[in-house]
Amino acid sequence: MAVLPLRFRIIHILNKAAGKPVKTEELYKELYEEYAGEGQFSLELMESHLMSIKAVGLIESVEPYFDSEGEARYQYVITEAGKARTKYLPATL
Amino acid sequence: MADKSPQEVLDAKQLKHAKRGILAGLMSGVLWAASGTILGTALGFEPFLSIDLSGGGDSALAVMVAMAICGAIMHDTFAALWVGVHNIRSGKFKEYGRTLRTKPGKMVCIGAILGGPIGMSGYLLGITLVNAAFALPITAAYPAVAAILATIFFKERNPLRVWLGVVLCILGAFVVYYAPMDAPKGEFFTVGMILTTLACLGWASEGLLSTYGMDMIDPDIALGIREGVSAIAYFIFVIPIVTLYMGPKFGLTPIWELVMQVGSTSALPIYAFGGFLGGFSYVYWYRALNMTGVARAMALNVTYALWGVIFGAVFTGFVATGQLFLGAGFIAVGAILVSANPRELFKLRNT
Repeated sequence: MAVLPLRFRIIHILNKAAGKPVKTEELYKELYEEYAGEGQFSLELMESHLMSIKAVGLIESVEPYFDSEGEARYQYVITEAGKARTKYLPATL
Repeated sequence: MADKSPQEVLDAKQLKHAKRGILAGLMSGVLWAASGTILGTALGFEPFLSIDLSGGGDSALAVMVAMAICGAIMHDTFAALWVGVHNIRSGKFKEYGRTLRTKPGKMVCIGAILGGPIGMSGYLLGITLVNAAFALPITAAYPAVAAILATIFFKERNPLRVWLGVVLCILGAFVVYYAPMDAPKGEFFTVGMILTTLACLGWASEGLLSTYGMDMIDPDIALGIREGVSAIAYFIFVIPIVTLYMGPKFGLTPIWELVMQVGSTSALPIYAFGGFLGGFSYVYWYRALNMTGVARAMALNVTYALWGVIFGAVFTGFVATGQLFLGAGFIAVGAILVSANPRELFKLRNT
């Protein structure tokens, strides 16, 4: 399968989770194999992507927590608007 | 850290993110004005310097159109190159191919054509063919058109204060550029008005399509695609169409010839620098569209009229008039109203 743009994959993973909150580090871990080595791929940049996707209403943040490094992070779930955009994901996913 | 809850820490992070969005909108205006000031100076170099416009009339008009479109082509081409370099350095280059294969990526391409060749060419041809006094009020209204469309299609939520800010910014831009003049309705008045309206709709649609696409695409990649597609479309469509339409009538200096001449003259580094500033103006504009929503991003971008007056005064000895100060005042108050509460940016839409 061809690699998708990073934000597409974030939405895809949250859609797969079907309402179960996903932690930022879990997203990072799941995407690591596909995007590792690219300058755009880091935990901090991932958070910036998540905040932008959240602002436009495709995902929602829930249950804030401190990770093992003491960083405050959110967990994320997909919204109805986000689910509607999964029509732009390849059917083969 | 220990005395704060994770929610408080994350609120602070989100606030920082939202403020960066507002700053991006303002930077887009500052850099657009700087780019305009720089590109304006290119007309003082070859090949433009030796073009004789003293005869006036339709022929001079057509040559001015050719010069303006040549400038737009050089701008978008250099901007595409600079943004490409920026994306390579940021490790995002592979996202171009991935994004172009998706539907939102294709929407950005359509937005590029609407905003670049259609929007910019329509604007340049419009103000040349029908007189700025008619054309400016139409094109200056594009942020309002976009903000209204974003409310309808995106359910973008903006309090009354933001709407007032948007209106003041647009009004300010109009006051800055408005120059009452004897405006005869020439042979091309109808065509010119259609083109000007197309420019307004083109820019507003670009903002909408790009914003929709950028919900799922990195703004820097969307912009890289936008500038590249726009530059290519100028070469494939705009140059032949404008040359065919206006050439036989006016003996138009072929735009292609001008573009080629620029490539071998001292104006080239100026266009390269202007394209650099303009490219990054767009980088910030696209980020602002994504981070602050259509209405705010467009209002903050329109502050270029204010920065343009300042840069003109500082770098070209341009003397500001009372009218300009009035327009600048509207823009400043409008920008403050638009940016007043960054917390509103945590959630931009009613979804």
